[in-house]
This record gives sequence, C-alpha cells and structure tokens, in this order.
Amino acid sequence: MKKGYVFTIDLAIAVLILFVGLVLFFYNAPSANDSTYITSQLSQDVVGVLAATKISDLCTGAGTSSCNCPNYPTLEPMCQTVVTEDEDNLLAHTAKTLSFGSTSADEYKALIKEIFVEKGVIDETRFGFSILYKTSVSAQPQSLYHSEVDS
Amino acid sequence: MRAQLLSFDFSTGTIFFLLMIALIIGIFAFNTFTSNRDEIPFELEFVLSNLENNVRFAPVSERFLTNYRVDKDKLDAFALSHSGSIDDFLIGTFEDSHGIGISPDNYDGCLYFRDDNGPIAINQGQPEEVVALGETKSGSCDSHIIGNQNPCSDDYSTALALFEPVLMDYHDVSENKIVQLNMVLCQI
Repeated sequence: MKKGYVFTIDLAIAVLILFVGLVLFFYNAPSANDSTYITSQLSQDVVGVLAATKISDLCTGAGTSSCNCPNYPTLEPMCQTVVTEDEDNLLAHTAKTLSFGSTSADEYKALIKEIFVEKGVIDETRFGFSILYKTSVSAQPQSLYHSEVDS
Repeated sequence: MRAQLLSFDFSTGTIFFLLMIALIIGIFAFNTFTSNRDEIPFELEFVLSNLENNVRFAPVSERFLTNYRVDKDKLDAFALSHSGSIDDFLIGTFEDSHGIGISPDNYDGCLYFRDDNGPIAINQGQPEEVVALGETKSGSCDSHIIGNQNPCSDDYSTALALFEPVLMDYHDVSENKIVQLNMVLCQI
C-alpha cells in the first residue's frame, strides 16, 4: 500500500508537469501592441516636399524686397532673391543660394529647423536627422542641418 | 530507503519541471520577439505612395494628394464622400488601381494631419468636421485621435505608424504650411 502511495504521488506530479507544460505551450500572451514607425522613406520625403513646395506658396512678393512669408519668417531673406520661376521651389532655391554662398549656414539651419522641427513635422525627441549636401568644390558632404548639434 | 526514494524522485521532478518551464518560456519569448518583425510586409513602406495612386482614381474634386501637396478643399470633399473605412485607399485598390499586393482585409487604417497646433480639422466648421479619416474595430479614428489615443485596440497584433511631410495648400499664403501627414495601420 505504501509503495502504491509513492507511485501515485509520482504519477500525480508527472501529470501536473505535463499539464503545466501544455498550458504554457498553448498560452497566447497578449502583445504589448507598441506602435512601430516605418520611416525608411522619410529622407526621400523631406527632399520631395522641399521640391514640391513653391516659395510663392508660402510667401507673397517673392523676388522683391517686400517679400512676406507669414508662417516662415526665416524664409524672407531668401525669398527676396528669387529671380526665375525655375527657382521658385524650396529645394532649387536652397541649392542655388548654397552654391553661390549668398545665404549663411546659420540662416539655413534656422530655416530647416523652422520648417520641420518648430512646425511639428518631425519630432526631434523621437527622430534625429541630418541634412547633408555636396558641392562641386568639396568632395565631402557638408552638414546643412544636424538635429543633435542644434537641439 | 523509502524516504530517500521519495526525496530523490521529488527533487528530480522539480529540476525537470523548472528546466521545462525555462525552455518553453525561452522558445516562446524568442518567437514573440522576432515574429512581429517578420510579419510586417516590406510592401507597407509604400502605403503612402499607394494612397496617392489610389486617390488619382477618385473624382477630380476629391484627388487631394499629389506629389507631396494636399489640396485642402479636395481633402474636405474626399472626407465627405468617405466617412467610414478608407482601407481600400490606404492598403488596397480603388477602381482600376494596381495596389501594392496586400489585402486590406488584415488591416484597418486611419489618416490624419498634424501641424504645430495639433490635429488639423477637416471640413472645419461644418457638421461633418473631423480630425481623422477611417475607422477601426473600436470605432472611428476621429474619436481616438481627438482623445490622443491609439486607434489600434487590443483586437490588433501590431500598430504601424507612417508619416511624411506634405504641403497643406489652403490656396491662401497666410495659411499654407508644411504639415505632417500621418497614417496608422492596425494589423489584425
């Protein structure tokens, strides 16, 4: 009888182990359901929106000394130097004034920060980003904006 | 002797039990950690392009997104015509569009816009005013975005967020701004 008692306990423990193992195996714990950000196209999008946005969308009197940009004051100095329709987008005009050196690096940093950071388009607390450019003079890419340095 | 037998059996069983638990938790945790990443199709990177392409097949007055520019008037018109689910535009196909090879059946999506003042009102001042388009299992996207809540409830396995900068064209220089287009996809 005592032998049977021992074997019965042994069997009960084995069944318990098997049961707990099966429960763990099939138990589907709820996931944390955190948001996953997909940002692989973001750099392309930044360049794209600068190319698609005309200075005349954001400013009145482009190419004149009385150029006024109600929502982007940092754009006004550059807005005054727009000459042709081909230059009338942010990307083309930025490239032109960069290559001629007619706008300082600090003015560009202020413009980029105003467009993308201060207006809440890119959250710098989540995403650090840099904008680099190359010229015909320098072989190495130059930094136009770097969020870690300027924040 | 019997006590020794019992003790030995008990300790062996306990050690085996603990090893099994450690093994199962390790396998389970490893699968959970990697499976979510594997389950995100690479095609989802192109949903924003898919939206722009699908909108091209909508009526002219509702084609609100073209080349990083959002026409506010056309966005309002689109919202009036599509007050419920917009999954076909986000993930699937519309009319004769080609889509991105993913069925919208496994996703529910929300679309909204933000600037430095928060979510941008669509159909502002009208009875149909909303801040977000689309709906999920837990209700309209609008009610969640207004309350700053995740529209993807526990009914979904993953929440995917995409955003891109766009020019919101109000046809008024004093209002035009580069804003943030947001899309939230809830994966079933």
